[in-house]
Amino acid sequence: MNAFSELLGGFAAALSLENLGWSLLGVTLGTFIGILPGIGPALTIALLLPITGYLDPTSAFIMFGGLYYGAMYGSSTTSILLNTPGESGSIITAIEGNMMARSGRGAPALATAAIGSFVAGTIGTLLLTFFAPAVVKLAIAFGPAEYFALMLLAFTTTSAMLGSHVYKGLTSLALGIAIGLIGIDELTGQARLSFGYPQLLDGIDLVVVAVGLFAVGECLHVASRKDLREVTVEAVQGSLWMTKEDWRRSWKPWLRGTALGFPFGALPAGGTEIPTFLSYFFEKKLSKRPEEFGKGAIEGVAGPEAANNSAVAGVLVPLLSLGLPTSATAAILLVAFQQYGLQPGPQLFTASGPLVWTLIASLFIGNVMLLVLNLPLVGVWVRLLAIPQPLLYGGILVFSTLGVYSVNRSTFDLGLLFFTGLLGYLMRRFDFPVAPCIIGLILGPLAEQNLRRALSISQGDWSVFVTHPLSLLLLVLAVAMLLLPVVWKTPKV
Amino acid sequence: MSTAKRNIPELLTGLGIIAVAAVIAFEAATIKVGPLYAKVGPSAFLWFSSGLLALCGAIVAYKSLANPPDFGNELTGPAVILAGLAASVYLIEPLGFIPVATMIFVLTARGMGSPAWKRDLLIGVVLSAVAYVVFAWGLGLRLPIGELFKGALF
Repeated sequence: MNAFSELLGGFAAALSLENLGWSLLGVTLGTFIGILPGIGPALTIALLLPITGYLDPTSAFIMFGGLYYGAMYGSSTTSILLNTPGESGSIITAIEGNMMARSGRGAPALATAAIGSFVAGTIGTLLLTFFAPAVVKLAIAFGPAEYFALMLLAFTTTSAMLGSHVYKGLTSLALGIAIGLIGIDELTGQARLSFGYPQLLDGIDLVVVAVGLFAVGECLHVASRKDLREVTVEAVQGSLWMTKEDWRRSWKPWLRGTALGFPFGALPAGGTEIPTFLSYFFEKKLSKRPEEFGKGAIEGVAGPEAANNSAVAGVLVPLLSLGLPTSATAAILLVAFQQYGLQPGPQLFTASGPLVWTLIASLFIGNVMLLVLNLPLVGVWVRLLAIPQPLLYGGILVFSTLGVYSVNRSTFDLGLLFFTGLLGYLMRRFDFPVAPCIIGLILGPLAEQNLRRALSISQGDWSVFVTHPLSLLLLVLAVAMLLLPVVWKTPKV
Repeated sequence: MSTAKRNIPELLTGLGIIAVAAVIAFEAATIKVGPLYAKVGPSAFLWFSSGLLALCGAIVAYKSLANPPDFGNELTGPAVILAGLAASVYLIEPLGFIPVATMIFVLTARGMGSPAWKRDLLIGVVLSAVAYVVFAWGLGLRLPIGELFKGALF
């Protein structure tokens, strides 16, 4: 019951007027960027990092949490009304939901997505409340060898699960690790990959890489493909109050989607994409009317939408309790914690307990705000979709330049933005997933640190990784993850 | 669609990845590793990422030989946008944030196919000026006003 009383304390803090304000700002901003095509929560949090340096950590994380949840709600609106998905977790929604919108059932599609997200987000956050402390207890037994093995597992799962081919995910990962190594090696003081530029000795700022890969890369990609620019926005038709029939067909998919999404988010298994696919296939199998799937079946929106929101809550379990990011957004949240000198992991719960519990409580509150923001006010948000793309991307690049320049006040960083943007474009053009690159960039140096620590404790004996049972188990899983996609192909739609 | 059974851009991508791997390997080879850190020295992870990149690059290049060419790409749009970003590196400090941000806005919109550059220019100036006021004056972010305008304003 300890977690419960701490959560109550968190609610007391989160319900203060100031923190409610930060939460509202976060969810509003999150919905806004979720609805705008082409930018997601990872990019937005990265862009906000230079500004939030002035805020106190609790306010900043309440805002980030709201933003993360809000972006998931917003992107489902875009997926349903626009014939392109906002991000990988809403591919299914973009198919099934868009079909519903085209056949005049846009409003019930939006409603089942929003209410399903609310149900899944609330249950997922509840599971987070009770699982995270349990994982913390387990994590106390972790030494550097286990952490290193865990990071390898995160490397292989994200590379194998995201994108079309394992080797493409691994390319992205290896690039990220190399970018993360740029600068002075902390242990030996040697410069690595700095090519004689003194500006590179401190390493490349994460904000530059994230903005380059996500914002500039996406913008160049859309500019190069005319077919991506020709989008049609469907009007919101039908009643937002779902019929009895809609409710009857939605509530089970919501719960099943939630049950699928959370474990996939919580295990280092690459975030929201896989559970939405699985949920869709489950619902199709279980449905009495499988022929409606692909033509706008409400179950095909309700299930996957619940799955991706509960996966988002799941992702926070390894992030908060182990310091292990399993999605690009989580990786950037990890950097946000580090910016405040906080290290996610078991210590976070003991050293900054009130902050963690206030954050979790504010996620519950944010979820309620999001339901209100997204259902009755959906008409307001839809207008955002009418912004012409040239102006939208022009604005995105203006704020990207502003954000990147203001980190270090350095024109060198603007030059790096050019190159990382070009890299982001090439990766999209040739179908390499971007998220493993961000994960490699952030976890690479941490993996190196833990490997060195483990070996210095064992006095250079490599067998520690296989003689510690937990480390061995994680390594076996890591290898299995690489081989799995070769043997078992993920279902494609 | 051509019937050639070879995807040249993909082949170049594979070779490009191998070239990056070679650069990283070259860097790794030039780092002196002291005997104290012989186990996991400063170059170990460089060798690891270089090896992984070389392997993946080889797979990409190999697969490109059997892949048919995919969709065509327009390169003018991206080039216009990139030109704006490249110019900003050299112009942001002398000219200041507002004119450079306006230039990025107009060029990006143009690169995305906007036909109305006068409208874009107007929106760009307003957006950049508002962003400057909010972020530089409101939030205390230090954005350059520009060497050229300093004398005129202060």
